[in-house]
Amino acid sequence: MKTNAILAACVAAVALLGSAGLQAQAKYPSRTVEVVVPYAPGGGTDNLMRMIAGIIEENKWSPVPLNVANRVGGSGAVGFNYLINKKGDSHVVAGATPMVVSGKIEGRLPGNHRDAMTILMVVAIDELMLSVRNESPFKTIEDFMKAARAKPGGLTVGGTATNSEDHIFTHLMEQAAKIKVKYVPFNSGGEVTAALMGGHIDAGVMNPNEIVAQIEAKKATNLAVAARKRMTDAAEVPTFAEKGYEFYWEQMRGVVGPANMAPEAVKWWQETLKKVTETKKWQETYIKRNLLTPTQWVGEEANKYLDSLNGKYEAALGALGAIKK
Amino acid sequence: MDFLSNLALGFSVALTPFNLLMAVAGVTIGILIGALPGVGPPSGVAMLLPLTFGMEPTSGIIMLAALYAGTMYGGTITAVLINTPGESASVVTCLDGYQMALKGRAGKALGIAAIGSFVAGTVGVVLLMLVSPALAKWSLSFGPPETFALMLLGLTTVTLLTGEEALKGYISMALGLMLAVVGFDIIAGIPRYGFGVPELMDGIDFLPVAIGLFGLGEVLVGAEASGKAQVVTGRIRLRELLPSLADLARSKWAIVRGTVLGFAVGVLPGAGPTVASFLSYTVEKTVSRRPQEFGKGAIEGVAAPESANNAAATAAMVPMLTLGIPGSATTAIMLGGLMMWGLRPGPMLFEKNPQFVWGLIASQYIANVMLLVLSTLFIPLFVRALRIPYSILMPLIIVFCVTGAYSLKNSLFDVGTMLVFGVAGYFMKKLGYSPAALVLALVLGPLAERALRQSLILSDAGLGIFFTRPIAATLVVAALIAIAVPAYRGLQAALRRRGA
Repeated sequence: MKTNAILAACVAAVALLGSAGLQAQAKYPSRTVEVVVPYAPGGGTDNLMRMIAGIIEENKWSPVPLNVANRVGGSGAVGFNYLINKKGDSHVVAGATPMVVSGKIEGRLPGNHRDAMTILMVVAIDELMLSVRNESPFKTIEDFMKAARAKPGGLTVGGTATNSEDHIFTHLMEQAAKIKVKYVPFNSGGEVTAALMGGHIDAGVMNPNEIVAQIEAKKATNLAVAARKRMTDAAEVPTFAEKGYEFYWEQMRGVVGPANMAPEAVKWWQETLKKVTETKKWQETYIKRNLLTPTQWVGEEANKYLDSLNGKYEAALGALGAIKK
Repeated sequence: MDFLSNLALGFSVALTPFNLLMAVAGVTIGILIGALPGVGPPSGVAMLLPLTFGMEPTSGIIMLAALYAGTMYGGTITAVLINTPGESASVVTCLDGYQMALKGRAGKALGIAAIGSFVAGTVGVVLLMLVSPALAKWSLSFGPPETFALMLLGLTTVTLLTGEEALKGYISMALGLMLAVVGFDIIAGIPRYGFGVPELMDGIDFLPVAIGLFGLGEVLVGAEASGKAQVVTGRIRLRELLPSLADLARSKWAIVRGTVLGFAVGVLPGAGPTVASFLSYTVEKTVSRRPQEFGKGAIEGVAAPESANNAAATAAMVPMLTLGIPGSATTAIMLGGLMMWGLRPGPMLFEKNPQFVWGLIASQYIANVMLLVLSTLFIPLFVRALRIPYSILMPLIIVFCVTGAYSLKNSLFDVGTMLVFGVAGYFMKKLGYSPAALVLALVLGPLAERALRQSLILSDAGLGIFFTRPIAATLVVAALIAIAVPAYRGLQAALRRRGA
């Protein structure tokens, strides 16, 4: 009853604002917004969306409640399919991962950011690196490449899942450095870290936040990052490109809505997410802690970025034999 | 003493009124969440995680850790009372716990579970405190070959779950392994047996299967007995509600073994409390002098797995705190929480945030004491539920099963799975096939398959990798013995019969 009363009050307040001549802004959001997390609680996308929803509610930027719901299954397919089926519904958004692009290529989603979803903002880039434990004979990326060349297919590189970002990273690295390694897929980033630290694999593909605890304890070393320039908070890690192995690969994080979202809804989310990504809390507790590269890409800029990802995915997944004919 | 001053620091943090309140709240909510089938520790922790963001990190983790301990016990309640596991680590408790309830010994089953959980939890914290770094190092020595060998050993003990008919046990296990291959194959990166159904991409979740096989299956069998099904009647005296001294004497070694085994398994990344509870049950049955009583209400069959799952829940914090690597689904979520609070779990945590770590350790002692007190107080209440006439209890159990399966992932698909396996459970029970063997295979199967294939990638498909590494070799040999001995005995018995 109490929540009903609060809801009624909110609706009334919104109605009042509307009559005060602020129709355009007041129209959205008009009822509870469902925030879909297509992955399990505790994962990267879950953390992201709960952080965003938390900041919006803390600052009372939304007149309606945001209801964060995990719709887990099929490595994101269940959640994104749910979103895609909500075509034209402005009151549902989801946490975006590269699946928004790669899902269609792999035949797991009926569409992508251009034809089935509306990208609201790309909020951060998660870099990918090659890391080793300190007992490893490889102290630099050159050491690793030299050994890999001497023994094609002899070194093992662990990553999360097959045909995944980590797998594509390994494939691109092999191409750029003209080497061949054995890729060992694991179930999660935590398992890769455990296998790396236990010495069961020679190197691991890591997001910065998966390995930072080991780096701080001086138990592991990042050999190189697949970024265009060095990371601000880990400037000692060279990029692959500067060492002569030119390839770039990364994971994007963002917020996406269904196709045909109302223009005022898109505008509201773009403005609100801009405010969110400018808060101190966001920068300190999300970006800095997870060693992410912050972005605020919206509209065509975001779409063009995703288009570029689409081309890379098509090429890489084609080479890995993961595209359904 | 450095260590004593650390512990004193810990208690000074944990005993502040607010943190004490958080521990009580955590245990209580945990028991309730654990008792709801489907809503297990991972979802419980995930639901409460946002609540803790406004708190001091120490208060937050105290509440979550207390909640985790509470759910481990809460899941036992429905397992014992209505044969419906509240969460995955209490599936195996159904086997003897429910049988005890049918014999009017539900209170004793719940009591021994509480005592076992208390002992295991407390010993677990002592180990966590004293030997974390060494244990963490040991856990890292478990690579894919060792993990596979451990899972293989777990699978070969399946005949122990099933009693006399070994062949039927293996058939149930084979069914479970077949179900375990459904879903996205992360090694090859292709969907298997998915038939384009997105829900099948992640495989068949074993909790709806277990709720169906045990909970609903039992109701269907009971319905056939049309009201003749057993209901506890008459007055239950308080003395009968709690384990007697004889019960305690019978269970003491089961608790000790469950605690040690549970802790050892819980420390390993990826194994967790569910695997620990299954393994400790089978170990207990092997070493028992009364193996024939297992599955018919042996109190050790409740004491061992219940101790093991609590010890494992505590042990899962070892890799989380010392390495920053989650040992179970629940600690993975806690790890997310720790990072949100601005802490960086890992080798440096003990040095950088002693207040946090020692506060958590001290609060674990407190949470364990509270768990024992609260659960003992609740037992008479829970046992009274069994006096509800079966005709009313039965539909209630079905409601429990349906909501439990749904609440797991907010998915009607899981409800369908639960219903299908409810019917399957009815037939399995009628025909003497063990549902527990199927569930065990479904739990261990994916872990075993993944570890096997990772090992074979590492070794270029050579089997030597399982015999050249000491831990893996020991476990594989133990597994081979576990297969060979019952087979040899069976053969001998058959020959003797023919000779006679």
